[in-house]
Amino acid sequence: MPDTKEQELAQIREKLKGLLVSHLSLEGVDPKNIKDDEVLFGEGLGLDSLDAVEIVVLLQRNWGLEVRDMNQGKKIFYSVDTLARYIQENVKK
Amino acid sequence: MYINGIGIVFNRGRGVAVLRQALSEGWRPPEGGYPRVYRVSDEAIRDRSISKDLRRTDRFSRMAAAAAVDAAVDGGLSRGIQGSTGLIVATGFGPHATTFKFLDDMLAYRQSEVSPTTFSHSVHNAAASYISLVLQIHGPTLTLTRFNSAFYEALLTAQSWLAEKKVSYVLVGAVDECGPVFEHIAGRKLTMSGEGRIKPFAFSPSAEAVPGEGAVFFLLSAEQAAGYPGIADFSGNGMETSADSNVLAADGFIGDETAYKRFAAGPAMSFAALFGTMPGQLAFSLAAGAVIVKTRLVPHPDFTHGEYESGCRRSVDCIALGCRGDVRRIRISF
Repeated sequence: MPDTKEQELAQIREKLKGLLVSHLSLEGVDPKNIKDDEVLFGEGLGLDSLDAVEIVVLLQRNWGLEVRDMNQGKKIFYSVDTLARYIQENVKK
Repeated sequence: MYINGIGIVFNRGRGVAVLRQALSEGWRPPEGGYPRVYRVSDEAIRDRSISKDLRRTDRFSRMAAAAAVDAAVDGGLSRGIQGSTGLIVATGFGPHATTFKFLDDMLAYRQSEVSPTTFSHSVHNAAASYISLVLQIHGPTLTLTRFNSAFYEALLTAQSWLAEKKVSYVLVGAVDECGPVFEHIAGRKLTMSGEGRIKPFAFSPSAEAVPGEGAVFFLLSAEQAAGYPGIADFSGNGMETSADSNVLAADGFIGDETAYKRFAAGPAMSFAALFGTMPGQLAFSLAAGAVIVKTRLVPHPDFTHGEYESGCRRSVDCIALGCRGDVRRIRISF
């Protein structure tokens, strides 16, 4: 178990990066090279709308979280960091 | 109808040059342990020039796209004529590995947690969609799925499209993947070769199989180009063969291969031991035959039978038998 909330957040970020690379088939991308604040869509990692749907599935499978509101989703899906914070704040412990 | 270009991905690698080399080198045991399988390497289907369009694809579509792109390039399919190009993909089992992955996910997760991308790739037309995307083909697109003779019927369809002048070119090919389900079924239903070697000239009533996978595509048109032979004649259930040599698609898939013997009275070849057992064997036989006729290559003795003498082969009959004794023959000649 992580000692602090910051450590817990770091663990979620690390897991997320690995899942994004494997689940979205990001060939040639090393999870370690994804910055915490890197923009996921458009610029940055260059994900698209189909990837967004896969991230919804990824959140449900791994953390039991559902994102139904797409306006809310835009903020949550902005970067690895915003995604990780959403997971940390909403996952049932 | 003429072959303008060929693209191929198989266990030895990718491309016509690799095929020529393999035809000269002879048989090699499949790599890896049991079960023996002729598998396409990931390296062979990793293509930086098209990888962006294929990021989400599965192995089935990647193999098909790699072979289709190579056939288009080999045939000089230039930009601007994609609107008059048709596409036909023939397959025995389709993207069954992805289909069963999707079903496994349905069992493992809730319905809302199943990947929509996996679902979209589990449909049989997925490979054709990717090929048309990569090559910007706007003509008619079709996927034919049958355990037997899908490629043969794809060729017949291509011929009718060209005869009707519906299109100027048809990109037609066969693709099959050796996924875990196919391997399981092959292990239970086919007589597997312990040493990993298909023996097409044994004409055995219980022929041995070694599962294989790959993709092969042909760019066809009504005009001769690129020095490949033409597809001169088709015959369903036709028993007459009078070509310089026959290529037998005897790969253990139908079990009883005694009926192939009647087509080996003269010079005969078979490349099943090179490609492995798969529904699209006839398409791979056609590619090998076309390369041999074009280049006058003398295949390695591992692949020949009877009085096969070196020399020019101007015509070749590619022959595949179905489970019910039906015969599919494709003649290529200059």
